[in-house]
Amino acid sequence: MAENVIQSLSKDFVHCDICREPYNEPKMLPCLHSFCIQCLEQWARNTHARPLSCPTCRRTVDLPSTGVNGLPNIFFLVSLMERLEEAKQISKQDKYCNCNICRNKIGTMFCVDCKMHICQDCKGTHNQLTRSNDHPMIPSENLSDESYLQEVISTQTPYCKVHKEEKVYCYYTQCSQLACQKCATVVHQGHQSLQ
Amino acid sequence: MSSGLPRRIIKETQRLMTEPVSGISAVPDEQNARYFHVHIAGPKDSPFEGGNFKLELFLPEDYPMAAPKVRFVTKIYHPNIDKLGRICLDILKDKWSPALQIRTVLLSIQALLSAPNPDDPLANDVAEQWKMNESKAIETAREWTRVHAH
Ligand SMILES: [Zn+2]
Ligand SMILES: [Zn+2]
Ligand SMILES: [Zn+2]
Ligand SMILES: [Zn+2]
Ligand SMILES: [Zn+2]
Ligand SMILES: [Zn+2]
Repeated sequence: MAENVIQSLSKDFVHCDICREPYNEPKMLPCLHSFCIQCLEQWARNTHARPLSCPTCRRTVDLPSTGVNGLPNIFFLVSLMERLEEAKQISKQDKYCNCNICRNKIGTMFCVDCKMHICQDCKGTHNQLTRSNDHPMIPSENLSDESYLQEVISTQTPYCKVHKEEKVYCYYTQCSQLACQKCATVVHQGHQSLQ
Repeated sequence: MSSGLPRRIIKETQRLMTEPVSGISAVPDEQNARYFHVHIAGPKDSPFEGGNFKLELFLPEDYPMAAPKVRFVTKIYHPNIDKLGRICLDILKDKWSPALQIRTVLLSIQALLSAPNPDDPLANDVAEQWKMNESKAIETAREWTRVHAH
């Protein structure tokens, strides 16, 4: 089991999203995504006109005054492993199910955040209910494609373990925990963190 | 400049060949490894179902720092694709990121066929029609698929 995870990790995940090679001197961005230092420098040069954004999740990055070099080194892969598992669970589902909203048409897409099958007609309802239109939607026909799911899910910020609705926003170096805004104020007051 | 093909492009090409995505084929040109002949099958339950759409994809010199250039060769009636086959898709423009790949780009295009978005149109007349009379627009799209996409 552990071996399988490690194998698939090394095959698909322990690589830089830019060069697709195993990390070479990885640096971690505030959003927790990591890239080789050279790859990041090249991307920073290429986007010099715009603020630097994370290639994976597109969040804007405020570089430290020392530039890419001043970013922290990577030190964990935990959330990647969890997402790998999430992709696997989703890919085991039936591709075509009744829409979880109207319950009478067959869903044509699957919302990764809500874990719901949604038909074409109910997409608007979903967006209204969740007050969001940026939940990642996967066409039902791609649901069994685990590597596609991994690609989609790895671009999402993970949810907090405690507060299931909240996205993680920082990592506590002192206690090695990911936290959302809510637990940050309660549990980790005064602890050292990376935003 | 002519320092051969970057490893990433070689790897992406290999993976496209060995693990093709369902409904999509992308084959590099024999003369130019940065130029791909692409076919996308019209998604099930879309007006493009049954069609086989030909596209061309080119990886510019600064790929993956810059987006691939993609265009429909087959005529298609779609609010986000214009007469020249150009595609209105944010990730091909300002939302490009080097973490995206040929594969994800083609999947996004396939998804665009499943879910046309007339509120962000490139082909304005088609988008108008799509908003005014959706069932007629869908019928036209079906018709074009029958006539052009085989
Ligand atoms: Zn890299
Ligand atoms: Zn990121
Ligand atoms: Zn429904
Ligand atoms: Zn959702
Ligand atoms: Zn929390
Ligand atoms: Zn703490």
